[in-house]
Amino acid sequence: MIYLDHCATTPISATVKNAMEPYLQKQFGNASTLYRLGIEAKVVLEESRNVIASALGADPEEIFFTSGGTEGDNWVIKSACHHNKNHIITTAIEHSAILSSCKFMEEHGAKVTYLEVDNYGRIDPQSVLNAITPQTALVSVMAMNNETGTIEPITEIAEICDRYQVPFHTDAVQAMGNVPFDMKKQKISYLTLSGHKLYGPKGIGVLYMNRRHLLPPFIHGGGQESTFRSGTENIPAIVGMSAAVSEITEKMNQRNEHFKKLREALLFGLNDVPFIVNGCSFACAPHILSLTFPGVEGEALLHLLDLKGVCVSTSAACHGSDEQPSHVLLAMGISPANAKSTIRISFGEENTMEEIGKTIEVLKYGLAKIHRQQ
Amino acid sequence: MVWLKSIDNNELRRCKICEKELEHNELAINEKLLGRGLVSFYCLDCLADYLDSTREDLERMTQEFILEGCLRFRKN
Repeated sequence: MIYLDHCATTPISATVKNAMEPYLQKQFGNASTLYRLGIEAKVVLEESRNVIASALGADPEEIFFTSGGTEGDNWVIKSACHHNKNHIITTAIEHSAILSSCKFMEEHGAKVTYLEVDNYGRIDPQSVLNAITPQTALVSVMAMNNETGTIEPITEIAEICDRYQVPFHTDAVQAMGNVPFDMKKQKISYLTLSGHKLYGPKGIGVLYMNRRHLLPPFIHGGGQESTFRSGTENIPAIVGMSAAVSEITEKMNQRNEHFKKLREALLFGLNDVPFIVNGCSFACAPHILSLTFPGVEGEALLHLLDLKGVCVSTSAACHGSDEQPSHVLLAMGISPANAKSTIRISFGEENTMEEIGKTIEVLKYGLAKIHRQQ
Repeated sequence: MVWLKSIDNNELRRCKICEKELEHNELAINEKLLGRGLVSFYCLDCLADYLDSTREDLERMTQEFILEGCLRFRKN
């Protein structure tokens, strides 16, 4: 199998697995208990928090463990409005964890502005400035788009928000490990991470909350996470998340160089096939390729690739009549027909040039088989 | 439903190669793998030949699509 869908999820790395293992059986203590086993769990919990804080240039007290990216996004969007501040600014290309939470907030009386993007999928920071009102409670813009790899100008947007004293949130689930973050320099109020996109475990995430913009607790109970997020801490997953963040941050440049080579090889290998690369050529993640093959149904191509052992994705999974073209591609001005003719390839560090060669071969096979029926 | 346009009229369809009478899920797997709007279809064996695959692989995929809840297929 050739796995080229690392934006969907990643395998747990050997380093992460080894770090987690002792906490699955031997050191299984509850970090809230007062005997040695529990104290050891508490110590490793705080060490993990320190590692993640250090990777983000944050203070450990600003790091809160969650169940994943979706929880972090829900926490911020659903908690940001207060008193007469009931306006949220976001973009049309966000992940559904943001868009669905915004829809929920609209149903509960909030006003939401969905900013448009250009043909590259980029937000103009000026459009954020123009949308801010005295009622604005939050601006939320993703750091890197999960379908196209387009990198958003979040540092500029955060500066604008800071100037107008509006908290700024970024969903950095796809960006972590691919672009650097420094919470001390960037004026980011909230940042969401997910473990399983970073070669860490599923079911764990982080919400960074700047100490000046602390949100109310989202899950109430036993008072864990300084009372902000109750629930017994998932120590094995937290240790895994910390190991994953540490490893991916350390390897960032090396990984990006590897992805650039894979990307170039794939695009070069397809040069005799008509296709369009979606996204931004000057500000994009090297590991994400959104490719449109006009006239070819993306979902059919995906299944033919699967038949030959290559895993890629389309943005729209098939649920029969519910199938819709990607909201991200439509927001970029791509036609519904071309949006449905698009697949996403996302590389991982374990992918090899040999695998890319095989993928080119299988892609050409799939395209030929589909074209011959038209 | 739009996606059933080419296979929803219960019209008798035959394999374009061997002329075997086709079942609903054979039509569905054709559309799933080759795209919607096909005017002619393969039976499972001829589709496997065309795709350099095996009947077993296509049967396995069909079962997976049914389990996933893809409405293009019918449960047996």
